[in-house]
Amino acid sequence: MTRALRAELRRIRLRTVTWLMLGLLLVVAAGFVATSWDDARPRTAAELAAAHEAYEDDVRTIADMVVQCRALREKNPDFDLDCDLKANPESSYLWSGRSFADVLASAVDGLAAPLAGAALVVAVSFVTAEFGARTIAPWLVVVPRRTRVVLSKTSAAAIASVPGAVVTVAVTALGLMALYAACGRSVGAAGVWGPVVGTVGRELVLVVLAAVVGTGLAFALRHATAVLGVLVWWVIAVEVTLPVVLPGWVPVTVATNASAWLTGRATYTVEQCTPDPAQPTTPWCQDVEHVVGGGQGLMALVVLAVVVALAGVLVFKRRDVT
Amino acid sequence: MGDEPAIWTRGLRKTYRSFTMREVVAVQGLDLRVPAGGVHAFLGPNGAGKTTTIRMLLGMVRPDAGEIRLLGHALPQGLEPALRHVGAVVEQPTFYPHFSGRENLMLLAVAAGVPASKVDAVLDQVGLAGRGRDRFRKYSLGMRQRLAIAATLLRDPQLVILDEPTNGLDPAGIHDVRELMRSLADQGRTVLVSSHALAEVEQVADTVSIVVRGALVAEGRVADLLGERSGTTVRVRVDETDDAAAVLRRTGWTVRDDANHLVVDGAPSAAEVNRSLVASGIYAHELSLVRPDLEAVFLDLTREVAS
Ligand SMILES: Nc1ncnc2c1ncn2[C@@H]1O[C@H](COP(=O)(O)OP(=O)(O)OP(=O)(O)O)[C@@H](O)[C@H]1O
Ligand SMILES: [Mg+2]
Repeated sequence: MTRALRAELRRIRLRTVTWLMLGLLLVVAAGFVATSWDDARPRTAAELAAAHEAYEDDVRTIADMVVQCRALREKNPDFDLDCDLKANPESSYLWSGRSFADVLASAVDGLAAPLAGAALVVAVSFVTAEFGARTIAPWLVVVPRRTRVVLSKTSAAAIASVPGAVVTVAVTALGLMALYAACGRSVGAAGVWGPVVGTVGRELVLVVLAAVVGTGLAFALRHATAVLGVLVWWVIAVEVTLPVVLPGWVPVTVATNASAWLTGRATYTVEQCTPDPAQPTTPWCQDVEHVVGGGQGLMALVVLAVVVALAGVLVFKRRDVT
Repeated sequence: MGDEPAIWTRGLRKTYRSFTMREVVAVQGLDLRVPAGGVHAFLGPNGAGKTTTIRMLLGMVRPDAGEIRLLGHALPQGLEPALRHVGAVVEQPTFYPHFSGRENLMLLAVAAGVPASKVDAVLDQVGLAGRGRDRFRKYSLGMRQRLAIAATLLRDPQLVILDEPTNGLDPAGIHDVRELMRSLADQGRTVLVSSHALAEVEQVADTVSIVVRGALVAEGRVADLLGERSGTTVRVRVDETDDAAAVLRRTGWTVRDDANHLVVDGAPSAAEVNRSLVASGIYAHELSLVRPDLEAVFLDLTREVAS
């Protein structure tokens, strides 16, 4: 580890923004735990009674139906009537909430965007604060090589984003476990952790890429407001408008690629029209589904991060620091 | 290092270009030579290009043309090895406002590979030992300047560049900075101090470069510069002011009335002034040599170039 990186890690650890973002993530984590209450909680006596009543009702109704069915069968022996009707098991009349595994998986999925967003904010402000306070000038006396300055700051932002994400996921998981355990629900089902660990791993990749994009944008633009402007423009122009105007361009959106990377595949549909020889005026159209694979999604995100990072390096190397 | 100057530039040029295509020529063909060792004053009026030059020396601003040698290294290739031995404050002290003064120095120290004990030592050296743990935001202007100077000393630099270091300091602070510059020079280091207030560097500088509008107008030892630029100026108090003025003007010297005194310029010595007066039967109550100062030289030069 270079000395510059060590100093940058020290600074990012001392920054208020870093801890503020972690605090926000923990609030989000707490939110996921809190909204799982309805899944985890024990059923109330009223719910149990209602479910039991509904079951009994059905049992009665079905018994009547069986009687009628049998009567019908006797009148019409030619009909092949199956009168072996049965009510569903009583347990199916009570919605007992999603299992721990399901809730955990959906919470971890939901953390992807907040984690990436927090990493982006931490990374952008880490660099723009330096230009804002103009501490970049004394820094350049100690670390004169511009490329090294960019590399160490980018690495620091990327490295720092990982423990924050891990802590957030861990707090979410532990919170859900505690909640389910407190409600007397099972938390130990086999195969719960495998998919979750896989998702978290992919989210960490996403978080690191977000940090790289953040520092790249900040080095290229220097002002937090300018970075915010570009991000808003991107969201409006590329993420929202482009898919509507040019559906074939959906694979360039971050949302699609990120979701492909996280879930393994993302789909989008493009209307494809072929001229109908019988009716030349009205072409024959149909929606064709396209798939963006996980690998393709990752590749697109990496290319985006590299392009932004390179732009940051080039601008920072060329522009005067005054 | 032998005769290699600490700083040497030739034909240095920088034009700032803004988005609106407005151009500001900040430095135009500057040849700077700062000998190794001693305090070198880098003087010029506001906007003369001092800060821009310092930024080019530190690799923050890319020159349009010209050569720079810093501590024997040709820039830009030699920037990294050269800056290892340079401490610099550019324009105002800039630190993270929410970190303490000590933490700000710690960050630089970690990046420079300097032990924490050195941070405390330099804080002590600039008289901030007791305030190191306060947030930088709460520092007074003078404390900020001191912290910036402390930062330059972290790496035991051969060359210390201070851009208007006494800005905002009280008289005691100015005195401290002067002492510090002197002691750094006495340890064999080179100090480049930029200023537009001459009085404060005149007493401490060994050599000086004067820039006006981005170009060098004078350089050399302070003593030589003072001697070369001014003939003797003599103040005389006599009773017969008008007669005396007439006598002295006849000799070809310039004479001004200043309160009850006459100020005589251009005479070879005070004795010559006295001799002329006595020869005409005028006796002076008071006769004194006015020491020319760098301020006058500087104003002269600045005016000359401006016109
Ligand atoms: N970042 C910049 N962009 C555009 N012009 C600049 C920039 N920095 C300085 N200048 C211009 O360059 C010229 C020289 O400025 P510089 O700051 O180098 O002068 P200076 O000698 O340090 O002045 P001062 O004594 O006021 O500090 C000025 O005309 C200034 O307006
Ligand atoms: Mg200046």
